[in-house]
Amino acid sequence: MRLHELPTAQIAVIDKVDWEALSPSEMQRLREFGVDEGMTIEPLHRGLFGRGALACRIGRMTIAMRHQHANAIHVRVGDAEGAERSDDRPEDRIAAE
Amino acid sequence: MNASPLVALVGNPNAGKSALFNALTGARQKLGNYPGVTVERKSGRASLTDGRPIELVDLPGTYSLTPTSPDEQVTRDVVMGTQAGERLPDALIIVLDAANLENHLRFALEVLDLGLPSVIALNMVDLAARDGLELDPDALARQLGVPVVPTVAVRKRGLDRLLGELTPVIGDGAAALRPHGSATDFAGRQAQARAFARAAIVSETPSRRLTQAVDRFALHPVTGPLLLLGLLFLMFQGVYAWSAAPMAWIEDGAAALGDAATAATQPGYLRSFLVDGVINGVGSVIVFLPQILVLFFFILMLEATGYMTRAAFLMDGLMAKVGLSGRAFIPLLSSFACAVPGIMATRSISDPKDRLTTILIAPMMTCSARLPVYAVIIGAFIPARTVGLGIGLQGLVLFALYLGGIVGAMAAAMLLRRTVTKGRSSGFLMEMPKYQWPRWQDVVLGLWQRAVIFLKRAGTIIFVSTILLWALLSFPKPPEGSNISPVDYSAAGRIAAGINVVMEPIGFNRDISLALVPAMAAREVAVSALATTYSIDAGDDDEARLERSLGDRLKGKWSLPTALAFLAWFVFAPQCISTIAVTKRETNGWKWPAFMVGYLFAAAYIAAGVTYWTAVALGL
Repeated sequence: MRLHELPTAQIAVIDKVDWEALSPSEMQRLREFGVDEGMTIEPLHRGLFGRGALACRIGRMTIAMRHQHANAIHVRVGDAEGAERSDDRPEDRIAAE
Repeated sequence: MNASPLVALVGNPNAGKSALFNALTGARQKLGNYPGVTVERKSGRASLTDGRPIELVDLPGTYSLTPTSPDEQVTRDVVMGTQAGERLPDALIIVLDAANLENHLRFALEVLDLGLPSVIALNMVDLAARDGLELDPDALARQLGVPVVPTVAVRKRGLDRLLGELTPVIGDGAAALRPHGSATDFAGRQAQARAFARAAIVSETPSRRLTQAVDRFALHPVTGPLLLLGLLFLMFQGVYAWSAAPMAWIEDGAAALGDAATAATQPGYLRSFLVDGVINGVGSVIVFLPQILVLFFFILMLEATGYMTRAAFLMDGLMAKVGLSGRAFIPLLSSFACAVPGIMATRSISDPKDRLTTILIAPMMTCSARLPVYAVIIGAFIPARTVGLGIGLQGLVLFALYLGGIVGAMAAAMLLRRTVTKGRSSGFLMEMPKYQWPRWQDVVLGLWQRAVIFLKRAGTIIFVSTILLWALLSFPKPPEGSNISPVDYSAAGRIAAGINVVMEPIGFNRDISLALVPAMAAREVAVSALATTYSIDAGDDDEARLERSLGDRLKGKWSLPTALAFLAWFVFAPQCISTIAVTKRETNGWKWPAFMVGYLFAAAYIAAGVTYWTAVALGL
């Protein structure tokens, strides 16, 4: 499943990122934001006007990206516990809902 | 002992670096530029605990030492000692956001690898606590091998300890870079940063996350755009409502000064120069200082609270449709204050074509220098009544003018992206910082810096062009007993008569043509130019001339269609030397500024013409 298909407020783990689909500077910036395999990510808000931007929580940051970036990020739902993040506790998910 | 030690503040964007810089230096700041690049150099002075003075420099925020924009390049070059015009810092203060530790630690590790003496400011610990995060700074210090001081820059907490830790670190100021640096790569540092962060976190309890709660409203598909529109509308109404009283004081002050100068001088050139030229001309521009400060207040608040990036997020979809990114929204919104910092802010856009398009349309955003022009014309021609719901008609017209600029800019962007700046649309990747209530001192300091810049302009560009215009308007004098108006007979009147041949079809009169020439220096000069022209035209004997405002004089001389055409002209006209100069600097040549001036003048001419002809046809 791609990140842009993930419903809002659904926490998922990043499975794989198609880095080659992104430009070098986009790849660098996403990695600097902490986008990496094994990290948890949660879509928070969608922008306006059609395929608007997507705001996601990754780690303790909220980042905004476009459809093309979200399309390059593969995620899986269901085993967020297996992620290496420490702030992915059940109560956290409750707070986010 | 030569210059005082240089200490650079480095850190990720949104780490609270600038707030820390302001808290450490207070008002002792100097704004400048790095030679050869247009990145602003912000420096200030502070004292170490042993009394030694240090020079602090606030470097642009960056996520790593691999730059993706000119701003980030400067940060890299300064800490590597390769930036022209800057020595290698004697020490660094690395600023980390306590609530975003693992991400910011990765950059800190990269910087620490350079081997420069460093102290870490673990900033915004109060906000981290608000989010239920408790940290152990000492554990972090042990792992990193450098002092770690918890700070709350906006409350001035931890500053003394920070300076205290900095004192021994600077030592005798013999800093040098580590020859090889470490071999750790991005992924290695990332892993290390995560491990360090985990070890430093004492406890973490879920608590109300203020930012997420606010975002649920501010980024909501329905309430979000309403809030944005409401804020912008409030901003433009506030520009009128909040500044009325101080503007009246300045007007009264200028009138009193004019009276005093009239009383103290004999009728003649000196009186005309002082009263018509200096006091009337410069005074008619300074009167807008309150409005400009209200506008800057809103812009500074939107930036400092973190809302500006939300506005960019909301606008990205729309910006994408015209081939821009949401990132362009921030420079464009800044351009409402002034296109010069707006154009400079485009440096954060990494895509060159995206950036060029943003630069080319930035002058269409209604800058504060247009406010004096709009305010005079609206004040004179638009009745001060409400259209219901407490909405003022004058504010509504002003809002429409701003909207006109925005729509024009979007149309221009769409056109440019399909022609001269054609290319693949770039992405939009941006961090959205936590909401924060800004320190009022920082806002006051920002407003003060803007006021000084405006008054300097009033004292230099506007003063000089006003005097030049006064001289051109005052000489030659019509012969004794002739009934030609002094302005028609003057050198300036003859120049204007020439220009007027081109401008007459779009409803402009000679006085407007006259005002447009000096207004090339700066838009607001149009107002002082009109004030000077009508002041001289009124003649020396007109006792009541100081009693009559410029607006009253305009009402007697201009038709409504002419006034509306004049407003439409200023929505587009590129009348500002500083904007043209900064465009030249940012695009490295004359090609793009020349293109910009050309297409904007054409747009202004067409807009003014269409407005005039429509108004005449409607019988206004």
